[in-house]
Amino acid sequence: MAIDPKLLEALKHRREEALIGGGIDRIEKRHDKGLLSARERLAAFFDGGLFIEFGMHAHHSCTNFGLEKRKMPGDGVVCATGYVRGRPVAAFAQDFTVGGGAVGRIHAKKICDLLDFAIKAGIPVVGINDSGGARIQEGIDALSGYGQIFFRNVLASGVIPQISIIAGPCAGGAAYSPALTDFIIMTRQNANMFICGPDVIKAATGQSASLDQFASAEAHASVSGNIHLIAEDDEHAVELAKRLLDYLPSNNLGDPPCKMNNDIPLDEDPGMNEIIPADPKLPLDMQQVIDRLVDPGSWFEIQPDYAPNMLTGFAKLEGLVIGIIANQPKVKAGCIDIDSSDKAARFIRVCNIYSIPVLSLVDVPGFMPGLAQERGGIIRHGAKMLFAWASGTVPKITLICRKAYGGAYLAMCSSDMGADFVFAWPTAEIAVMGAQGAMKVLYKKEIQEAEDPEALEKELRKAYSEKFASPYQAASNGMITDVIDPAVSRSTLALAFRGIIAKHETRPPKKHGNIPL
Amino acid sequence: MEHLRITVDGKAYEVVVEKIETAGSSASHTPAAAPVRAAAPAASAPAPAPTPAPKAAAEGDMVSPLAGIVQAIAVQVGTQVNEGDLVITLEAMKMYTPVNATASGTIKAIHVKTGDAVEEGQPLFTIN
Repeated sequence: MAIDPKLLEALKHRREEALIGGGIDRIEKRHDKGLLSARERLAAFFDGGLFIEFGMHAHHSCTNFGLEKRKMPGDGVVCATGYVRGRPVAAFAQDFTVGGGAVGRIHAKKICDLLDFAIKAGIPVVGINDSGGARIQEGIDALSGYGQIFFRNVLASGVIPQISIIAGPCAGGAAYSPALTDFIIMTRQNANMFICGPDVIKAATGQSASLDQFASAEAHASVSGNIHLIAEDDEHAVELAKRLLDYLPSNNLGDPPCKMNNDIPLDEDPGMNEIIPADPKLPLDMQQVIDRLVDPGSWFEIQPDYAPNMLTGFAKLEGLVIGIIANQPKVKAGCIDIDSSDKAARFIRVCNIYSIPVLSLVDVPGFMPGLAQERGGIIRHGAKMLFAWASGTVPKITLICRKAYGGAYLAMCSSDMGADFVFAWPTAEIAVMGAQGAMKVLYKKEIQEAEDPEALEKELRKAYSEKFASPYQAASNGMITDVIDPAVSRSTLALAFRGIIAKHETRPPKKHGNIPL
Repeated sequence: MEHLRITVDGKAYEVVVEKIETAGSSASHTPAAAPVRAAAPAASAPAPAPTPAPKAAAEGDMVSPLAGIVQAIAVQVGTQVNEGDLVITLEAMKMYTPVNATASGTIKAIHVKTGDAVEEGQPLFTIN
């Protein structure tokens, strides 16, 4: 009564057909270009190259324009679940060898079903995008497919981490699914992402623009800020996705996957004092501060090429996963501008969603002055940071290294904005405005009428600086937890984070706040 | 300068009127005390002299990353620089901002001098 061997033979045949997608020739062409096939990408991503595939035998149902005669194995997308460093994760990879990876009704349904599954299971989703766009033959069924994917991206947002890899073309509506996810990784070569291509731009506006200028990984990483990380090739892209998952919980109800160290050493780091320039006008390299603060090798910078006057990234501190927002005074004096506000606000919110405590490292002379900034809406953009901090309920710790002036001080999370601990170095300057500007407001008349205006201004400025260009005015008003020796920063922060890790804060119930977008 | 006699309520006054020419305003010849409505200035206040527009950046130009004052110039025309070498220090927002060479080469031209106010995007120097 054994199973008819013909059935097994037929199954084997069908699987073999599905597994080669668009055919050996096309896969080999990809290999020649240094690209992996969709299944090879998933195999590189999942532990042991193993995954359970969803919908291997799916096929389109379109009969327009002779499409009924065209075979499209898996309908151009491979959907699967597997394990990444031991944790279950869902992933899909569009198969460019099958009809150019174009999105039709069944293709979209497979992605939607995978997203639904991931939400239900509470596991992250990684999408590898490599598609020519909508399958035109399917008409608005293809368009509707995109809409259904977007809807699920939004349902999943804030519940499970969503990571997009752009490893080929990603044009028009297709670009909006990655845009709705938490992180976008893009390969340096062979990938581009845009809404309107060079031909459409030329026809509509007369402007000549090359893909390199606006659609490449480099352009998106540094100019538009649409992506978070650049990968050198396909393997590197999946490695980066795995590294991101190392810092993220499986869903919004879990904790980040970290092994906290049992002991927190109280060793001092005199080297921290060495890197602080004596002249307050010489920039402190915040990258060096971070390197000394966090566990070696754990700093994972996010959006390193965009608005580099603000550093954002994940790290571990004595094993605990934290997010870091830091001014970088080496670039644009560390001023907060429109782009750095957007970058920081989004990162704070990512940390808040996934229960990642946040460290703010402050050395900021103020918001960036200028016509372009004012006209560009620095008020609205800067407000995003305020909104993100105040609405965030994860543990928040602020370390004021040097300058903390005016509104920018609040935008870096002062105690008023909900910081649980605020530490300051003795080099901290916490004031409503700089001495030079303050003189013009406070003593304009006195200085004008003085016999020697320069001498008087110098004297008054010195008195102002002594009073306000220090952490002690703020400390005496109860705005600072403690003024610390920079050498004990690492141990102080590690102890403070460990002490606040179980923080639980509730807010008035509402649909959602109205962040100034 | 004009000497005028003006009669107000039957009483005559001898006055000296000086006409002041200012750019953009239409000086009226109407005697000062005459009960006429003052003519509105024909043109709005003269526009401030336009600041010379910084020249557009060309190939090899290193531009200012932000608006500020040139605090120090570490090189001269002809200096050999390596990528990453300090070329100009700007002061802005209470801070010094180093502007480093983005490529190795020879300094072909320096477009600013110490103390100059520079705009964001303004060419500072050119590397050959």
